[in-house]
Amino acid sequence: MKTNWRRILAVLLSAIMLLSLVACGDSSSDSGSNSDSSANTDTSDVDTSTISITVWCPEAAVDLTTSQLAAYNEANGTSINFTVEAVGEGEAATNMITDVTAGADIYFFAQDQLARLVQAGALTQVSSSLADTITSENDAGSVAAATVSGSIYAFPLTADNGYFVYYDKSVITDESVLEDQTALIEAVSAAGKTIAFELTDSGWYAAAYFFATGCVSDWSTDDDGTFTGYTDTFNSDAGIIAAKGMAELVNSSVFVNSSSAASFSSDAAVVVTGTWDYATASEALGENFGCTDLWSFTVDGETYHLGSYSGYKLLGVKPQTDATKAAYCQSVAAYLSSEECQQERFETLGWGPSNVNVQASDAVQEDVALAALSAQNEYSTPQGQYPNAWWDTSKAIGASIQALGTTDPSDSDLQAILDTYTAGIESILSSASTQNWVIVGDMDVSWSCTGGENGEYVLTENQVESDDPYVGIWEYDITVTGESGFRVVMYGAWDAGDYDASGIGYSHLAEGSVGTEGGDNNIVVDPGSYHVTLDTTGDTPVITVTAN
Amino acid sequence: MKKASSIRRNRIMGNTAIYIILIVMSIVWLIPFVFILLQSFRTENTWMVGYVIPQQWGFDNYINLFTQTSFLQWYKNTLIIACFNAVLQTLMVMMMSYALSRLRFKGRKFLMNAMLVLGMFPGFLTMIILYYVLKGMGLTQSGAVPGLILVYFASSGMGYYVFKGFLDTIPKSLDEAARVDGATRFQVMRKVVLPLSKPIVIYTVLTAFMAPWADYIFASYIAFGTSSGYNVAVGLYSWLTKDMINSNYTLFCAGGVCIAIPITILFMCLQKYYVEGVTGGAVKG
Repeated sequence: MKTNWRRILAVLLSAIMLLSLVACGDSSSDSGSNSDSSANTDTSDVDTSTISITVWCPEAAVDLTTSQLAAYNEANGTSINFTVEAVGEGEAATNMITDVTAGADIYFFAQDQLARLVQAGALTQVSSSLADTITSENDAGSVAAATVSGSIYAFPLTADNGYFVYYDKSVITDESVLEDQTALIEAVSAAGKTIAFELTDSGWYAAAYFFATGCVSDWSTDDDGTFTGYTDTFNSDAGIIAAKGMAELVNSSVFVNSSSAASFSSDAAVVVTGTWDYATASEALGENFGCTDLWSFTVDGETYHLGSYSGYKLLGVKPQTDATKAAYCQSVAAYLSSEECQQERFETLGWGPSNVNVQASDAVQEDVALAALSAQNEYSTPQGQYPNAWWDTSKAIGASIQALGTTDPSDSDLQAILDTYTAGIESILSSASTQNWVIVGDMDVSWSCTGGENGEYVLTENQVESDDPYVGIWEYDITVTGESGFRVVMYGAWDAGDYDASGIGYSHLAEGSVGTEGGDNNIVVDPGSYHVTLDTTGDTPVITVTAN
Repeated sequence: MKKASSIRRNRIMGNTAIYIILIVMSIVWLIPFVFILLQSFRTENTWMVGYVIPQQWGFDNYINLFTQTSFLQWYKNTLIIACFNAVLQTLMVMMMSYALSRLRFKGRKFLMNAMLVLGMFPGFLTMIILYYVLKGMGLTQSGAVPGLILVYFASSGMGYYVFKGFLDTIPKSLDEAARVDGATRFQVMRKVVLPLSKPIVIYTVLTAFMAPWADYIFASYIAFGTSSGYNVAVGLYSWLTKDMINSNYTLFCAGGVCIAIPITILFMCLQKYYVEGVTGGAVKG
């Protein structure tokens, strides 16, 4: 008996421990966004010393941010406890997505992460009054960069996340060669130096050539930040021209795949990178330091000036459960993105401001790196939202062109590379954990074919024609016993696990395009045994249901 | 005479070939270490350069490392974790191995098999669960140091194989003799078995001490953006961003050298036991 009691006690204790963990999990769970109501909360008579706000910013900005936050407390007569942690912009976004509750209340991030963060519920919508201030004080590009489906989700901090040319004046003595790719390669080659441009493993830099010839790749998201579609013209006649332009550089003897100003200490004469490398470049080159916009390339007699991305750094605020704290978070974030703070950031860190007044100031106008960036901005494309997989797909273009090994590749070789790219981006939206046609139905169904689960059957395995998982003819014998009918859908990444008879997320198909009876692709039939055929070889998938 | 000289010639040629191969291999193996060491003393600039030998030498990187950055904090964190881990993990493994090697109890075989099967799963499969468990206990972010100690220590018992193998080689008759003379189980372990298993204890201490210095995945997850909870690997990695690497590259190298120091010292002191420990468990007595 004694041992039995011990065992029972052990089980009880472990149960209690587990329960306590569950309880902890619940208590720290977060609410959704609650910005508008909270931002209007009256915060005048609140003891602010009980409020703790954590801020994540890049290490370089920690000291400045700490002093700016102290200034906020002083100016507003508050005593909020600020904790500033050094977390890089890329890492901040990843961390926030991993665990929103443990993340910072306010954090710096690069705008390409915006859609992911909205999707993860890690950003509060900016309250409407502050949104008006943001729109009037910052340049249009930065406001657009902070916007998802018409709502502003973040505070613009900088407008300097783009690239341009740094060059060594001792090598490039004649500045006119910086206008033309062929002349530049010749000049650099004659001096035995190199051109560093990260074209073969970065879609961000490689896009410069495609933007030059007018190609676009725009991705659209819905309100939740989920990607729903794209307009992409990289695979076009203009794309072939861009690829030819790129081939001339990446297959020349002077090309080095790098985007670090440290390359000047090796043997680079030209490096394409951004303002974050300003200090390194100016120290490495000393009085030979020079910077300007990107060059042009010529294909078949036409000249194209290289494009670029213009990007922004943003400040995000996490959704809060406490309305008072939420209001203060918004107010602090608004202060950090204000003219005054952007001015300080420019002076101390050299970050290019997004605030129009600071942009117009003499100091910013005279800054050589920002001048080069703004010269390049005439040709730049504001960086929209891209799915992460797009960067992997697009970076392969440069490497494939380099693998051709010639400065004058044939159109068919380039076409093949761009076709691979197109296939890659097509699979991004449909690269589901399961890429299958399925029959679903919230009903008691017994399938006459083996391997099916109740209420769901994956069709792809019995495909009769074609190797493409999306195109073919599938045939099934099913026995329907319920009354509510069934649907045939193809489910993608975002709706995997989210399918049922009442609300199927079958974004690949227009509603009602498969089934006819009952509309909305819901095929209602009397209980009994049926032969179902799904034919996707035509423009519109067709389902035929015949009684056995 | 002729024959003897040809043997001698063959031997010289054979040795020369072997030495050349060994020298080439050791150069290949040593280059990264020499490279890091040299870069850590380079002071003319702070970014990566295309040459190995510094143009200006100095200790600036080391001075800056400990005065300008949070490296000292990360170093302390890792050292604390490593020391606790070395003691706790060794105790745990020792008790586990002793029980499995010397005692016979119900479910012993099942326990060993179960642990073998569990050991097949990579440790980071449980990472997310462990993260939430630790978070519930307040052992993440600024509490990452005790959290990591707990994780390393709690999972260490399954690594008993080598230790148990070694204990199996110590004759049971020694235990029995001691028991006949009136020793308790604990006395047998402390006074008979432990002195005989010095090599394997030291091997366990060494591996337990070294592991936390190189852990990145788990440590970064648990520290979760709180610089005061970083270990050296996570801290140094946070410098490898496009806007930091050029100002911190030589500091990064100096940090790497600093990490190598305690491990190297410990290794040198305990080296003679190390080989015995690694191979000791393999000999079945």
